[in-house]
Amino acid sequence: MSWHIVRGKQKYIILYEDYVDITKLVRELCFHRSLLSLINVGEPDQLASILNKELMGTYIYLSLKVKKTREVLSLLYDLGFSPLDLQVVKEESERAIFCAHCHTVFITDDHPHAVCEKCNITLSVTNHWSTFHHAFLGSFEFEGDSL
Amino acid sequence: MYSFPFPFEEGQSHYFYKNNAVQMKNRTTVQITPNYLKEMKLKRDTIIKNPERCFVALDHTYEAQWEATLYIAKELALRYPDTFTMTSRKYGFTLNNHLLKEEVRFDYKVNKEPLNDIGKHVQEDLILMFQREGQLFLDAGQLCFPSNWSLAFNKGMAFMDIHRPVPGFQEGQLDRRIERFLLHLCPGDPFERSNWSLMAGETLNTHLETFPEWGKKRYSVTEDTVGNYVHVRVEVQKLHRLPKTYTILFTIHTHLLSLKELSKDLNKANQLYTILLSLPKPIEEYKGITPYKSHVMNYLEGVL
Repeated sequence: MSWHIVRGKQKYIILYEDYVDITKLVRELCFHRSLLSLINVGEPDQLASILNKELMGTYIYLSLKVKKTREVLSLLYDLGFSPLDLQVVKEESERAIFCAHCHTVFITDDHPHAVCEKCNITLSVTNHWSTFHHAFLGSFEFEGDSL
Repeated sequence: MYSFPFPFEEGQSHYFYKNNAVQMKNRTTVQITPNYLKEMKLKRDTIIKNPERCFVALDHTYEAQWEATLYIAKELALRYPDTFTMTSRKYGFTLNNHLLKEEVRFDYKVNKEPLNDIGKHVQEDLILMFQREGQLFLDAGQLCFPSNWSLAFNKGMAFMDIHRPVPGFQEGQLDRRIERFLLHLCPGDPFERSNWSLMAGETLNTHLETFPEWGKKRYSVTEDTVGNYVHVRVEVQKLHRLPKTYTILFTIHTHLLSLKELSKDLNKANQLYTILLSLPKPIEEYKGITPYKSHVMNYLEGVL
């Protein structure tokens, strides 16, 4: 799992699921003596009402499985949070891929190649990360050729 | 009088990567060239066929889109009075495009995608960069003639994140210096730069999405076809700070010239040859030149 600490925020929230280990992230945020809340992600309605009460200056880490991440991100954007207010803690065992051909975002194992679940094109997974789509670019590759 | 914008500085004999933006003398945003009708048809066909590849706009971008639309329309009417006329109204204007024989109404809040609408009258791609929290974000744009990148992927991303894969971009903190330069752009003081590459074929709309179609052409270059088939691709990029919304309007005009045409000027052919000799391998690969570079070098040696 990877993340970076964004300093100077009024408060930090970690949204997590039971089976995702957030110990290191918690330890690091505590080391910086930050005001911290941990929220186990449950029903979307409850989550929306909790997050809706947060004040400006709140920074959110999402430490969730990729599929859940996408659901929660959409909720956060609806509530008015922007990509600058949050960070996705990247899971190393699975990844969200943006298909360069049809723009579908799909979830796959950590592997250098992936097949788009919509257009079936084989993609080379790049390390170009979109902070907007929260996905890596899956691009094209010819033999002996890389983008 | 149109002339191909040769991208190298006088006397330049090596490739180097730097912020080569210079203050613009004529303060223009767009240029009408002899290819206007052909390129407008291609642009509009591309938009109709794949609108999601060609236009993006986040919800908060309307005011900046409208400002950019007015900015471009006014310039068209002022610089090309025989070709464009503009009649203002209280909440909009009408643009008469005499080349396309069209009269188009632009009404504030009625035109839902004004940047996309004005973009259908200029050869340039139009990108709007929004400044917040000390960064620049690509939140709106019309892109029909990209050099192998995806507007849909880059939507909503910061300048630094968009350019992260460019080889050498982070060396010597070049990325930070360019971002700082952009953040300090002032209204009324535009800059321009050019970016170059080579390409196999004469395709302007080389979206990342269609890479399998045009990318394979790089492997079909031969010693016999290289002169006519390989083109020097130059993007003239202009940077304007819009005064009201403080957005950066970034216009990209893409020009193509075959090696054969370019080589009619031996000085230019020689300069291209020496610069290609010094091109670092990662840049060569990033520009997609590697599969046919040896043919290009042999061709230029033959000319020289």
